Amino acid sequence: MNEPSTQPVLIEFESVTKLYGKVLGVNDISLTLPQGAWGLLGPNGAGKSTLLNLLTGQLLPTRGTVRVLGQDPRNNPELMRKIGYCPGFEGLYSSVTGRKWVAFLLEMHGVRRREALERAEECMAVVGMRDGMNRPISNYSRGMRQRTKIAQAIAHDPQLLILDEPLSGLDPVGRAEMTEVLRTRIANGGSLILASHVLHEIEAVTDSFLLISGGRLLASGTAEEVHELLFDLPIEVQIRCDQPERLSGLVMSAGLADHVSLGRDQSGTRLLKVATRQTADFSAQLPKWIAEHNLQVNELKTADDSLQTLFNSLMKIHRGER
Amino acid sequence: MSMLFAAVRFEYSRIMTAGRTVWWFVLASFPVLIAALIRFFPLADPHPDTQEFDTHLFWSWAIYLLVPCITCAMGVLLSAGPAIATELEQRSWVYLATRPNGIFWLLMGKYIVAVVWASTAAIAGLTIAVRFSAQETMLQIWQYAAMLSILSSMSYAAVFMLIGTIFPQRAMLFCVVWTAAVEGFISLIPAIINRITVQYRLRSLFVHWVEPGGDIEDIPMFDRSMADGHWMIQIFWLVALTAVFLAAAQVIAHKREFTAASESDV
Repeated sequence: MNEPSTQPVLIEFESVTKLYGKVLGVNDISLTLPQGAWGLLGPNGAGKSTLLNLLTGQLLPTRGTVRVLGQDPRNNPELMRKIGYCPGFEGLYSSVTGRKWVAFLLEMHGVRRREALERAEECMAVVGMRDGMNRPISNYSRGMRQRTKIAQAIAHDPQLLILDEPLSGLDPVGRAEMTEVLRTRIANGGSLILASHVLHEIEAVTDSFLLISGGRLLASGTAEEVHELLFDLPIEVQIRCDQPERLSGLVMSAGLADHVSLGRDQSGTRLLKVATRQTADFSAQLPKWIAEHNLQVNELKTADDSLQTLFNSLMKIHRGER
Repeated sequence: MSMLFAAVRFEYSRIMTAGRTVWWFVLASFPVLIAALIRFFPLADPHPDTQEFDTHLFWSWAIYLLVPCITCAMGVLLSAGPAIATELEQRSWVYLATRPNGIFWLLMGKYIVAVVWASTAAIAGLTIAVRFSAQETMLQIWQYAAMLSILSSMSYAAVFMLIGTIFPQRAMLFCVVWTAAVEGFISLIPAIINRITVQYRLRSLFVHWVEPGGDIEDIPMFDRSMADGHWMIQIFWLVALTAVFLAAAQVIAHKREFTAASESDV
């Protein structure tokens, strides 16, 4: 799916499967990603956290090999210096201040105490926590905890940031601010893997993504690259008109549809859905039918180029609905 | 080494809570309370005519059982036993696990803090408890009991750290069971198996120090339940056992997948 790249490899999965007993975490994933910013998109339970745990060396693959920045991530101190990880859960110590916690984690990288405290202060300021950094974490709101988690991930200036749902719990202003922090890092050449089940969170940061569902990788690449996969797939057109039965008959008799269905939307309005591969012919014929048969069309909607549509299409393919 | 200092300092500042401080005082008070009871409510000598009651030996044994055996073991049971379980339960493990050698320094930091926490409580309690003995040999008893307290805390902390790594979800329970079964029972079995217990080495040291060249070792009950080698050999064995237990805990912690993500998080 990706063009061969001269960029250094960011992550490499080779036939990776992870089983939790009989439960499948990820299933036979193979991919190679160049350095850059990548969104990991998938519904809850898709295998995103498992994938990230494999990347950070917290889990061992049941089968296959994982390499991050060219190295095995399991018990690899050298690699851990280059990675910043923000997990999807909190797990913060409640009795210490945010600044001291971030400083302590910096000290675990070998940074001297005074320097660690200064650097922690800077990072807490970057994530908008300058005012609250000297308060115990137990007094933090969920958004403040989320910001503190991001601060500890970026504090040692890692080459690769791995973030699991980093914007959850943040208010809209916080989301915008943290998105800007991540964009700045990307602009400065940092690599990023951002997992989320919320599409627009990823779209706001990067247009390169991995789609994962049921432990399987559905697609990877930019939105355009993945869209090419759908080139030969039928496009769904939704039409609201006064005579949907008549129009469906015309479409079918012209042989322009793979599939036609009649239904109602949430407001109860009747809706005709046409799945067609012959979009050009369909587009040319539809105005003629409207004119010749005096049809009143109130709305015509086709699949757009948004990532959501792409994701929906891939999910349908994965489920065997297309 | 700066990582070790950081881990110790952070861990210590984190556990300096009111609750843990109260527990420290409870632990230190335990030998004091029992020693006071022994001093002021003594049992009648059941055989007053048959032998002379050796109060030095009696108090030495009492202090040994109260401080290095019970207080130290309890102290490290409370601090080292659940060391990993607490990190996993509050899901803070991963933040350390994704640092260079983070797990190693975390375990070592927790181990040192557990040893310091338990042995200081034990020695504080010992310092007061030993006064109730009213013996001329009070200072001698304090010296060997303090030394044994440090060795006991070091060894038991390593044992409990290992148990906590193997059974993080039931760490305290397994530590108690292990203490009763292995340190309490197996260490007294007159067979070679008792030599791998901490209690066997501590007891041997105690006897060598409290009654050097004395006749305790001649009592049939003790002849195979304590070592007769030089006291340095016993210390060597205690240090070796501690190193082996700690190394095993480290290996297991690094080999196991202690991810905080449960199956529901996949």
